[in-house]
Formats: sequence, C-alpha cells, structure tokens
Amino acid sequence: MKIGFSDSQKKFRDEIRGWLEKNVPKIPLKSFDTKEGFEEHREWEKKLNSGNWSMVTWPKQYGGRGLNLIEWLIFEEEYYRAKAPARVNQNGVFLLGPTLMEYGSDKQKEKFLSAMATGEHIWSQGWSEPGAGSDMAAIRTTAFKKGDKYIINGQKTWSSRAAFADWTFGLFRSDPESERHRGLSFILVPLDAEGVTVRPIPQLDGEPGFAEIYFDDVEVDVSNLLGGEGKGWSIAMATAGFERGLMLRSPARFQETASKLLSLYFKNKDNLSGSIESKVLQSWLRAEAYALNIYQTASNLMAGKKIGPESSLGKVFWSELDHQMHQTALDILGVSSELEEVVADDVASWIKGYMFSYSGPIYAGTNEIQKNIIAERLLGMPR
Amino acid sequence: MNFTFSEDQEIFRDAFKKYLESNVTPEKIRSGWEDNMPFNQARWHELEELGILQSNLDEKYGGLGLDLVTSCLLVEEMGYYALPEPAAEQIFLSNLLINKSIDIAELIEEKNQFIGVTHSLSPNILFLDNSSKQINLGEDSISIVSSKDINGKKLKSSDPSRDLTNFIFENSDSGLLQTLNDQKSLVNNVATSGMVMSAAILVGLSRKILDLATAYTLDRKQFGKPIGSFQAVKHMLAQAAIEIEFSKATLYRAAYSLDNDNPLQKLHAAQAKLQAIDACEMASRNSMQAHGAMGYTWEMDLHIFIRRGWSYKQVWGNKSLLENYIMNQLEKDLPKLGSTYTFL
Ligand SMILES: Cc1cc2nc3c(=O)[nH]c(=O)nc-3n(C[C@H](O)[C@H](O)[C@H](O)COP(=O)(O)OP(=O)(O)OC[C@H]3O[C@@H](n4cnc5c(N)ncnc54)[C@H](O)[C@@H]3O)c2cc1C
Repeated sequence: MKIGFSDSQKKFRDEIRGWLEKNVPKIPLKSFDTKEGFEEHREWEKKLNSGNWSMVTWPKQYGGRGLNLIEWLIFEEEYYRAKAPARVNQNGVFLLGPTLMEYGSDKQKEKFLSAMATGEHIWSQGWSEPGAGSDMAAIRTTAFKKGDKYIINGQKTWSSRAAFADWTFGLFRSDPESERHRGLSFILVPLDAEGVTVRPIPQLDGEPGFAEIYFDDVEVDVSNLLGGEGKGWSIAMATAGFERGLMLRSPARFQETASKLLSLYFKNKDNLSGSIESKVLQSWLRAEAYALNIYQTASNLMAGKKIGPESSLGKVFWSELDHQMHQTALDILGVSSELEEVVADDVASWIKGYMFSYSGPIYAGTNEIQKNIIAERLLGMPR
Repeated sequence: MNFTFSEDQEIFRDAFKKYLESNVTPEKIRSGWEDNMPFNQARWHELEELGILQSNLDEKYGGLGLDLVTSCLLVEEMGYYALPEPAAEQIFLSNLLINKSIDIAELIEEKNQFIGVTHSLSPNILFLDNSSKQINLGEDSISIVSSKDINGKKLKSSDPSRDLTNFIFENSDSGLLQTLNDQKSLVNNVATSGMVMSAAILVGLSRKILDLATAYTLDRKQFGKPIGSFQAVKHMLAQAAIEIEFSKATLYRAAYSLDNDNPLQKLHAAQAKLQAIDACEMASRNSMQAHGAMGYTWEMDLHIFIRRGWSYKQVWGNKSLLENYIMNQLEKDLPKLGSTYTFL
C-alpha cells in the first residue's frame, strides 16, 4: 500500500488544471437540455478533444491519452474543481466507450470512438420501455434480421439526452421466439434514420432531459450490432456496471457538493440547529468515504481484480448521499430555497440539484433493485 | 498511488484468521465468561508465539516491525472473532508507546506481557490482574505504574469480555515507577492510534454481525420459506452491507496515515471511527431485527459481538467528541476542502 500521487501524476494534475483554467467558459453554458445549450455543450466536447481531454483512459489512437484509472480520477477532480461544463456525451464516453473497447470490433472502434470523442456523435441510451423498467428483460422492441439489415420496431423511453442526440445504443429483441434475457442484441441506432420519431419529455425542471423514441420499420446495417447476436444481455450488464460504479459517478462530483455545503453552513451557522450541523458533517464524511472507496476500487482494478455486483453498493451510497446534501442545503437556505433565480448563495443551483437528486435513486437501476442484487449476489440470500 | 494490500499482508491476515476460527469460538468465549476469567493466559501465549502480539513492535525489541496497516487487518479479525484478550490494545497502544519512546521501552522489560494503557478517552483499566505494568496517559505527561501496587474497584461491563477496574486516585503514588513530562505529542499520537484500533474492531464486528444474520435468514423458515427470501429482510441486510463497505477504505487510509505520521492523521482516524460507529450500529440493529426474538436471547451468539460494539463505539473517541473535533478542523481548513485535497 502506498497512498499518494506520483510526481508524474502531480504533473498531470498541473497540466489539466492549467488547461481548464484557460479554457473553461467564464460564463456558464446554457442547460444541455435545451437545443441551444446542447449545441454549446457539443462545442465544449470538441474543445476538450482538441486538448486530448475527452477520455484520458482511452488509447491515443482514439483521442485518449492511454492513462490509468487513478489519472482519470485526478482528471475528474480537476474538472469539478474548475466547474467545467457537464458532459453532454457522458452516456457515450463513460458508458458506451468502455463497452466498445471491450466488445467492439476494430472497425466499430474506428468508426465510433473518435466521433464520440469529438462530440460529432452525442449518444443516448435505449434500455427502458413502457413495459420494461426495473424488469429490463421484459423488453419488446424488436430488431429482426433481414439480409444485411436489422428492421427495428417498437418504443424506448426515458432516454436521457435523446431529445437532441445523434445516436442511441440499447437492447432489442432479435430472436422472435425468445423470452426474457435471452435473444436480446446490443445495437447502435442513428436517431436520424428513417422511421425514428423522438418525442421529448419535460422533466421536473421543465426541460426535455429525456425522450421517447419510436421505431417504425427502422433499417440499420448489421455492422451496428455490438458483440454477437443474442449476446446483448451480458454486454448490457457490463455497461450497467460502468454506470452504477466509478465511471458515471466519480467521487469528485459529490466532494465538490459537500464542500459547497460546508461553506454554506459555516456562512449561516449562527442561525442553524444541531441537526443541520450533523447532517452537514455526515455529508462531508460520506463524500470522503466514497472517494476513498473508489480509489481503493480503482487500485484493485489496476491490480487485475474484477468488480461485479459490488458496484451496486456504491450506487445506493452515492444517490442517497446526493439527496441528503441537497436536502440539507435547502434546509439551510430556508425561505429563499424555492427561488429559481440567480441570487445570493447560488440558490438556483441547489434547487436544481435537489430536483435531480430525486432521480438518483431511480436511474441506473433503482435502489431497491440494487439492494436485491446486493442481498442475492453478494450476501447469497435466496431469490 | 497503490491502495491495495500486499500479498504478505493478506497472507499474514489469513493465517491469523485461521487460528482465530478454531481457537476463538463463541463456546470458548462463553466459558471464559462463566469462569469470570475472560483473559485466557494460554491463548495470550499462543498469540505471542504466532507473532501477533509483537507484530508491530520494533525489531530491536524482538518484534516483527510490521506496519500499522497490517496491524489494522489483524485487529479487524480480532473484532470479527470477538477475541477477548486485549491484543489490539497491546499492538496499537503499548507497542506504539514502546516504539516511540526510549524511556518507556527501558522501563518495560517484559514486552510480551500485557501492558494496560489508560487515557481520558478510555479511563478504566483493562485486565489489571493480567498486566505487569500500567501506562497512564495524562494531558501531557505519562506515568508508568507497577500493576500489582494499584488499588482499584472492579467494574462490571455490559461486555463480560471486558474486565475493568476503576483506578483509585487518592493514593496515586503507589507503585509509580516514573512520570515522563512534556509528552503531549506522544499522548496525542496514542489517542489517535486508539481511534484507529477501535474503528478496526468495529468494522470486524460489523462484518461478523452481518454474516451471522445472513446465515440465520437462510436457515430460519416462516410462511414455508427461508426468511432471507423476504425483500424487507434482504434490504435491511443490504443496507448494513453498504455501510460496512464504505467504512473500510476510510479505515485503511487512517491506519496508513498513522503509520506514516501524516499531519492529518487525527482527522483521518476520526473519520474512520465515525464511519465504523455508524456501520456497527446499522449492522447490529438490522441483524438483531432479522433474528427476531431469537436474537434477543442470551443463548444466541449474536450478542457476544453486538455488545462488544457497544463498548468500542464509546472508548477511544465517541461520536460526540469526534464530530466536534472534525467540525472544528473543517472550519479551520475551509479553503482546503474539496476533491483535490483528499490525499494531502
Ligand atoms: C433522470 C432519469 C434518466 C433516465 N435515463 C434513462 C436512459 O437514458 N435510458 C434508459 O433506458 N432509461 C433511463 N431512465 C429510466 C430508468 O432506467 C428507469 O426509470 C428505472 O430502471 C426504473 O424503471 P421504471 O421507471 O419503469 O420504474 P418501475 O420499474 O415501474 O419501478 C417503480 C417502483 O417499483 C420498484 N420496484 C420495481 N420492481 C421491483 C422489485 N423487483 N423489487 C422491489 N421494488 C421494485 C422500483 O424500485 C420503484 O421504486 C432514466 C430515469 C430517470 C429518472
């Protein structure tokens, strides 16, 4: 055990810090759940790529830097410290990217990874359907093979960023005879294909953060199949692991929220009760505990260990923490907390974050589902 | 950055675990309780022979000179098996004092014998009859006392594995061998070490308490099926598993900081202890609940572990004290908060 950063990691930190200081827009971009904001964020992805910062862990040939997970965590820390724009392509770079790296053919990597890194392709995910939420194996949208095409019919829903995105990836039933998690395939679909209709859905903040996607005899080339036909379920489980775990929700995000909460608390401390104090303290403690856990997990992964259902432990932990932090902030702000205005104490960002924190226990597999996984697959309790 | 355990650390831990598995069973613990002698002299010698007691003692004193992360792993297992003998205290308190102070090292000739250590965070003397000497930590002084000359009143703990004596101060010079002054930094160092020690015990206990509950819920049937198949029961235990998972890395970092004299070692230790306190409370409550009335009996072994947690949550830094400490630190260091400072 050796806890601390190497000289080259410190240099790397300085490098990214310097680049971000120069390049992070001084005026925050508009929300990426508006058309205009989406395009601003696409430009930002392009800019990141121009400095080779899209995804530092990717091989150099795809626009990455070939760095390890610890360096990725450093990147994330600096990214949140600099208050850089949210990653509009997070479904692509954090989820599909690693999946392509593991299951994609060279041709697919060639075609998709660089376009992802430059922001040319912004990705959404298509798992959920009206009848298949927690029970994802109930997927009914079909993709039947005809010649060198898949013909897709059906409906996906709750697809984040799909309102303005270019592509979606997801699971489709390719075997008409199949049931449940068998006979599903992982297919990449361009959202401008003929027969695709995207219907944006406004979220709690009023903006279309997700969308329904209708498929009406949509033809996609068989080369858009990832892994083997019928192998979709196990590939999707790997992607879900990235989503629950350290990829989508690196600790820096929560640590930065925790320190913002502490500042807010100390500023208003004289008027606050003891229970607020202990929640503030607990928030900080838990954000640190999450970070330490992720650093240990990253180290273990680098040493060749694997993580499986363990990522469910983290999913519950970070989503509950995120809610607690925002809830506590609103309790400190009191009567001004409802204001979606730019006023003192950054009120508007707390209420927005608070709204979003309600969704953390739902997306990426609800916390109830995660606890089932923990009980059954980690503790060995019967189904 | 390499936050993994070395192969040697894991091998040593696993070998020790094997020993504990067969030699520190609930039956053996109970028999010590029944005889009113939780300290088993024979087992103490075995721990010595295994190198556990001297694991972190400097080599110049006949120890193995191992680091405190290894010690932390060993103590976690002591918690897991509810080892009654104060081997954790020997490692994290008295060995540390001997390693760090030549004066103390010279006064303690028999370094394999149990040396009790008291401090305001843990004022009652542990196993007085089994110790040769006693080290009392004041605010900035340290006094070494011969145990046989100490007068005290026995105290009954809710954990029968803890044999406690309240020191009677009116005649505090009796048996006094030496008092060392200007020892503030060493005293603080030991108090921090006590926090890490008690956190490690709590994490080990929590793991055991959860394991007992999962095993029980596979076994016990109601409504024609194992109670472990009921989702309410699953989720209670899953929640405990989450709390335990997120107490571990914080603990190992604290042990590492202690071992490396990190200037923030006390903060790290306090974080570790607080996380461990919460994990143990969650594991204890939920596991008890999963056992139903059976868990509430003296006969079931569950309470052997739960009641040990009750004590270690309070000694060597309890919730209130730790929270106050951390809050003051955070207020002082406000500009240094945030993700880029985790490993400062
Ligand atoms: C902000 C946000 C973004 C999202 N983005 C995407 C996306 O990009 N792509 C995508 O495909 N999906 C996305 N989703 C959808 C998300 O994956 C689903 O909402 C989630 O899987 C739950 O499905 P559901 O909404 O149908 O709820 P349901 O499955 O109907 O669940 C409702 C409630 O019942 C509980 N429940 C269901 N089954 C069980 C069970 N077996 N045991 C215990 N409790 C159970 C759930 O925990 C929940 O509390 C997003 C959702 C949100 C909120």
